Amino acid sequence: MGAKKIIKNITDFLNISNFTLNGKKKALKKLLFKLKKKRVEALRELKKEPEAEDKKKLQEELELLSFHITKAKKKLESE
Amino acid sequence: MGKNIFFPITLIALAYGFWSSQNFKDIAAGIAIFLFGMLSLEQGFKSFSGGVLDKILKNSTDKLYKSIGFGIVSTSIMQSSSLVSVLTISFLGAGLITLSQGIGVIFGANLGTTTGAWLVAAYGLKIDIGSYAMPMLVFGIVFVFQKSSSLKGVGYILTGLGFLFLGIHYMKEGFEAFKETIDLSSYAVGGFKGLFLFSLIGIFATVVMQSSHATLVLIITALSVGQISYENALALAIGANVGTTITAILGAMSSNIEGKRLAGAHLIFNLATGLIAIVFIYQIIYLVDLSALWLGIAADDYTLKLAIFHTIFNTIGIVVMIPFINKLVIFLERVLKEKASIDEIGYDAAQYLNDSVLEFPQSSMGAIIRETKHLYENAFEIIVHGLNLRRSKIASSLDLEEVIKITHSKKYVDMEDFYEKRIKEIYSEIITFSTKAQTNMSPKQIEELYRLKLASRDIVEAIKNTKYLQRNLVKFSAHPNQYIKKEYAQVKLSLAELLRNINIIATTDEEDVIILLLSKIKIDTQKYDILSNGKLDELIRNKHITNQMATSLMNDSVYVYNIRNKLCNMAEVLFIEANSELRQLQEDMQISQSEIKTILEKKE
Repeated sequence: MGAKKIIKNITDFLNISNFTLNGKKKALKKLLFKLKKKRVEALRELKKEPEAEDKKKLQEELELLSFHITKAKKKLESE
Repeated sequence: MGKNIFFPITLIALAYGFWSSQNFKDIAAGIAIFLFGMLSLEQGFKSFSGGVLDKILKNSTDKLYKSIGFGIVSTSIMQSSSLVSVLTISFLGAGLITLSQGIGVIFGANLGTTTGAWLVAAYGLKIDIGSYAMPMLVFGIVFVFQKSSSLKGVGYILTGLGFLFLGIHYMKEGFEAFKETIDLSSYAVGGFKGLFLFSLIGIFATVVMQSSHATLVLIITALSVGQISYENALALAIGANVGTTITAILGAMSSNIEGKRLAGAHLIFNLATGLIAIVFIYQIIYLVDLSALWLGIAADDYTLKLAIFHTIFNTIGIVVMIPFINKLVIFLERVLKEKASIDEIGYDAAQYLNDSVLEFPQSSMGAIIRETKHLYENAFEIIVHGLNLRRSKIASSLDLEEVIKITHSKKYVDMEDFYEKRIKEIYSEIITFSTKAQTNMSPKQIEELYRLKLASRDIVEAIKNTKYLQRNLVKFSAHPNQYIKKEYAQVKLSLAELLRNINIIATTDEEDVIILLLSKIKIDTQKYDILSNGKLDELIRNKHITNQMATSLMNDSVYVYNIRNKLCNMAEVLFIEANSELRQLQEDMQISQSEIKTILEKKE
């Protein structure tokens, strides 16, 4: 039996063959959580009716956050 | 100078010894074969250092207790404290471990090296060790001639062990014959005077052979055949422990300041341990006798008792010195000060590229990353000053509109001069070092190294683009035409924002912040591009600027675009660790050109 086959059997036995995939999913979920939290904070700031300049910056931030949240969700679904 | 005289004197002394005594020839040949065996053993272990060993070393030395344990285990396995010292120096040089952790490894290595005495005392002199040497050498050589580097490594380890055994065999034979002609014990001096004298002989012998292991084997062999008394042997072992630091000191001469400090720590530790052992010699001897009794070792088995002594006094040294590690670090940092790499005329040189790490891919990579970050620090200073801004203000949380009003000096700095003094040398050293380092790297590591080289080039390109931009920035920042003045103020503002964002990326470990900022930089690069956002057309159409101003603005927009792009690419490589979770996330989440276009179109 080749070394590769032995390693495969062991990883299958220990059920860790999708270990990297699970780690990646976990990292994406963590990121998504942080992005959503940031979006809630930005929305809260927007409700305080800031000055025009700050409002523009907040809106830009919101757009970027929404973009990344959508992207992270899509990535999570495809994993 | 000392080294130059020492070498010919050693050669003459050896030649005289060979001429005058056949037995001396046997002993010297034994030592030479033993040392050659150690070299071969080192070579064998180095074959396994292509990344995996480096990783194990890195993870095993990140805490003091782990580093001491690592020093003990690794030196026990490798039977070479000098290889462990060199590796430790390389890790220090690469910034992978701190000085106190490095000291921990050295402490551990001092204890680990005592296992050699146990092996020789327990087996080397009781069985015909020479009979094992030949098969090992034959099998070893067969392995050495194989193509696979791992098999070659095994071969070097086997031949190394074979030569070690053969060396011990010759030394033993030489001493046995020597016993009949000269009685060293007749030169023995009693009391503390004798202890100091034999300690000095031990230091000298180890300095000559550059191996405490070899000296210890020599002492045990001489002791086993009754050439020296037990007390003299103890003093010689103490001396050997002090003398062994010479290897680290010689090794550290070509190393950076951290390596020198580590060698200093090694010397202080071994001197202190030696002094404690001499002062409390009779108490330690009592402890050795007790331990021998407990272990069932015969009262007259002095070779094994010497091994116990060696272990006990090194353990005492570690116990006594551990509470002082932090003070030792402070002391060494005060005494051995880093020579300012920036000299009086402002030249800066590479700080982390030490040739001793070249054989260890992971360490080389670490050194290159740190040096590239050093290069960026200088580049950051040059670009900020080139824009006539203040570094501290960029790094602060002050409103950027205010930051760009605070100038660095009345005159814009000479960027060419800055580049020559602070960038060129470091950049060329990074490239030269990378080229040398990649010969020991795996294809994956070479790929990452290539990205790092590109990051260095991006930094240099960003500086050059700032230099081209500077001329018009100076000219139009104080221009009576308010439109052109406003455009250049906008350029300054956007670059200040870019530098601040990169500064945040470099210092945070929040993955969401890094990903968002990198996307923002990429979007802003398109947003602020005066050609694509239609701003230039508007200024020309409304005749707010002259044709000459328009050309300048158009040319400079390319420089700004380049600076933004280059620094963004650099940040993605330099501040996001390769093979990390963050690198994977960034690759998954990074914004594409078409996505940027969609976002910007939505805004319009």
